Amino acid sequence: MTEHVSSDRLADYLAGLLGEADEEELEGHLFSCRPCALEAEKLAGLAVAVHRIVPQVLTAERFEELEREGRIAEVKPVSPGHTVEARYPPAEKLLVLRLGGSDLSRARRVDVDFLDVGGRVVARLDDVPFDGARGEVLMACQRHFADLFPHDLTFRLEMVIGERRQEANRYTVLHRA
Amino acid sequence: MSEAENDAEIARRIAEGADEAASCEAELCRRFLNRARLYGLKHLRFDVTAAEDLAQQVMMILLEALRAGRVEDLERVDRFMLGTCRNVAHSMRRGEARREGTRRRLLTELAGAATPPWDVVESRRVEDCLAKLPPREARLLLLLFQEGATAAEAAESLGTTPGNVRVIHHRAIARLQDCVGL
Repeated sequence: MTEHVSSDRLADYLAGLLGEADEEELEGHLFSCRPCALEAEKLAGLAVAVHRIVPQVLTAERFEELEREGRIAEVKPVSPGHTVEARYPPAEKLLVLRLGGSDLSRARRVDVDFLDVGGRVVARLDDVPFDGARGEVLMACQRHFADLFPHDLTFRLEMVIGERRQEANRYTVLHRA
Repeated sequence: MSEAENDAEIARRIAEGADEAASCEAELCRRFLNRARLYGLKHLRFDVTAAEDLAQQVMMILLEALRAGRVEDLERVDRFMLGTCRNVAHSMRRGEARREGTRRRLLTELAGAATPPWDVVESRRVEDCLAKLPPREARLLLLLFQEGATAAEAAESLGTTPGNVRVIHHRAIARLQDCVGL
């Protein structure tokens, strides 16, 4: 490979969309071609930024990764039907709410509604990651959420078992500055 | 040291222990550190800490090999780098011990030679721009770069074909670059 590589192909490389042989050939080129390497580094910066965006609900793997990176300020267990107080985390850090104690073992899908004190749905997350064995959903709260959502929120977990939808549990969290 | 000087010439001066060997080492790091970081990001699932670790180990192995005259073909430092990247990534995936002492020394002395790609882009800005993308494009970028989905898995999740996944991906990246101003 002697010609420069297109941005599309570099992006495909980073996203893992090239076959193994193409990937190896491109890597050989990147180590010998500075302009292509610089272009790939720009795209890598973008890819890392996308990778770093923290979803509002975490998988167990993402939680462990964030913990390793020192991004988690506090982990707060919340039991069904209970109300807990929690502090917004410092900037760049996360408060993780462990919404536990639900029987999600037969659920094939879980959705989360955010309810304000009046019981109105202010946001909804569809098809979130959940741990069926532990009966747990891991919510990641960031400091700037203070500007996006009411401070006092009830999270309503709804699960789908077969074709049937039913409420699993509710958890109330009073966020404090 | 000028941009025009080729990698082989710089490597040769390190190997010969020339007076300016230290500045040559810094220059070689400036040229190759980010390529090793890039390799680490790609092969270690965008874990920036692991990618930094890999890059520093690889640079240190290269410099030590050059100093000891163990790089046979100085014209192909790039091949040595790529081979070393592959070996180190393989070891790290197997969870073998990291070379902590070496890593700390390089961290303080040479790692600043090149700004890591992940320090160049502001995450919050990307988050805002991602929110402005068509939902299907945003979802695809998260599938690929957060969940490590393959083309087939992403296609299934989006209800399309692997070929179309690439098309959506190219469009999404172009839009995101445009919005971020990269």
